[in-house]
Amino acid sequence: MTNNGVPPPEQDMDEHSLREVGQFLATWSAPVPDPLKKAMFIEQLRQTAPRLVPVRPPLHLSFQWMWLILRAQMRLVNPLMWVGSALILTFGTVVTLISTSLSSTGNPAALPILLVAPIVCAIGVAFLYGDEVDPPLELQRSMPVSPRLILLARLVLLYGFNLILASLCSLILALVNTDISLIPLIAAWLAPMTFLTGLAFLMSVLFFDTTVSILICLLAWCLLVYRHIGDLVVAPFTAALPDLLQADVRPLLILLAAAMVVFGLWFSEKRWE
Amino acid sequence: MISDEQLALQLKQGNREALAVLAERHYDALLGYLYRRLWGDRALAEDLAQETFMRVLSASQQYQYPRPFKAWLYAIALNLVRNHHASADTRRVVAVPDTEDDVLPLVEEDGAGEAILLAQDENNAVIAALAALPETQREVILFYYYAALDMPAIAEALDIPLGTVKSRMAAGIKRLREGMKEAL
Repeated sequence: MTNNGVPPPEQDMDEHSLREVGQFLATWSAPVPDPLKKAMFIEQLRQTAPRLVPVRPPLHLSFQWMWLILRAQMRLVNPLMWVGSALILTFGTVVTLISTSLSSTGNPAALPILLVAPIVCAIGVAFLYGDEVDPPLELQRSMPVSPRLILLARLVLLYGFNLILASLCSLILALVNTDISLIPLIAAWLAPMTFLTGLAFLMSVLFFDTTVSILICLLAWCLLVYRHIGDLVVAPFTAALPDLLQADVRPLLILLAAAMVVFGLWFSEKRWE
Repeated sequence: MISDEQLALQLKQGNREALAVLAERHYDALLGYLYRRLWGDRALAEDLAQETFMRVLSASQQYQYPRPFKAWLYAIALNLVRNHHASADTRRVVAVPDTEDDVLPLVEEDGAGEAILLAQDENNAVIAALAALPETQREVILFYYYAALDMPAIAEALDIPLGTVKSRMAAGIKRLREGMKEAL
């Protein structure tokens, strides 16, 4: 016996036994294939292959395909969302500029732009999924692109747009007010914005209702901000909450956002099964 | 000569001619294996042999180079056979009267019971001996002798440890030899 308790083949299967059994089994002969049938089948394989072999497209075509999906979705997203996000972020930038020139604080946590950027992005994302936005299921299923991919494309578009816009606003703030440093400012809004975006996306997928999704995000954002500036008014229920806007929990917020997006994408198709 | 694995890799990369070469090489042996695995049903064996190559084509992206192509091919064939036996229209029970008034289901899922009847009809000792084996041992024996797969390839095709293949093979050989003695 071997170490693992399995008998080695030679123990019960010596050459003689193998050959003897082989000779016995060989008495049941195999059919001779019909050469014409075989040739016809192989020819059929040759002709079928082009339709069935899924060839992976070159990288540049994959990018082109992704760009086409993004461009198509860009047209489908309500134009008011682009304009609304841009206006609110511009307004937030102006208010930040005025308030910093008045108080000249260098602390990024106190800047109004930080309150505005995350929730603007989350509200935009909350509009991505729901009864009013999505075509009927049958229509979605008949498209060559999966509904999950469409949803992801819209999310990337909206999040990307707000990311660029908020970065531009931060750049303007840093250029105009030398007390503000660009990188700490971006770092301060990036994690909350990503987290709220993930939350808005998940809520809209779970509840299939834009209003509910926006309300939940607003409530979550208010609690987070209230907890963060809780030095001023400490209520017992907010004191019990963790301060998720602290710098050291930013990686956790981004991880949570990624998990919510992944779950949302998975659930978006599961809900119809 | 270019190996089966390299051809399978070429097929994965979109070379359609590679499949024709693989079919040329393996069609006869696969048909022989399926013919025995299906207890001598030639028409069905031909259908499933062809279906196996179609599956190789459609699943070519799943092939992992340099894993042995032959083991992958026979694993696909075996899955098709199992699906065939499991499908509703082939799942049937031949009932023969028992000593009681009851009936006894004789045909197993893979048709081994039917083979026993066939063997009795045609006095085919090989079929009877194979049909008397437990299915797990029979799979290994059929792969070894009729598909010419070596033991590591059998382990790969059946997705079981090599030690299990060896022990099933040993047990199968032992039972077959006993069957042979009885037949004589």
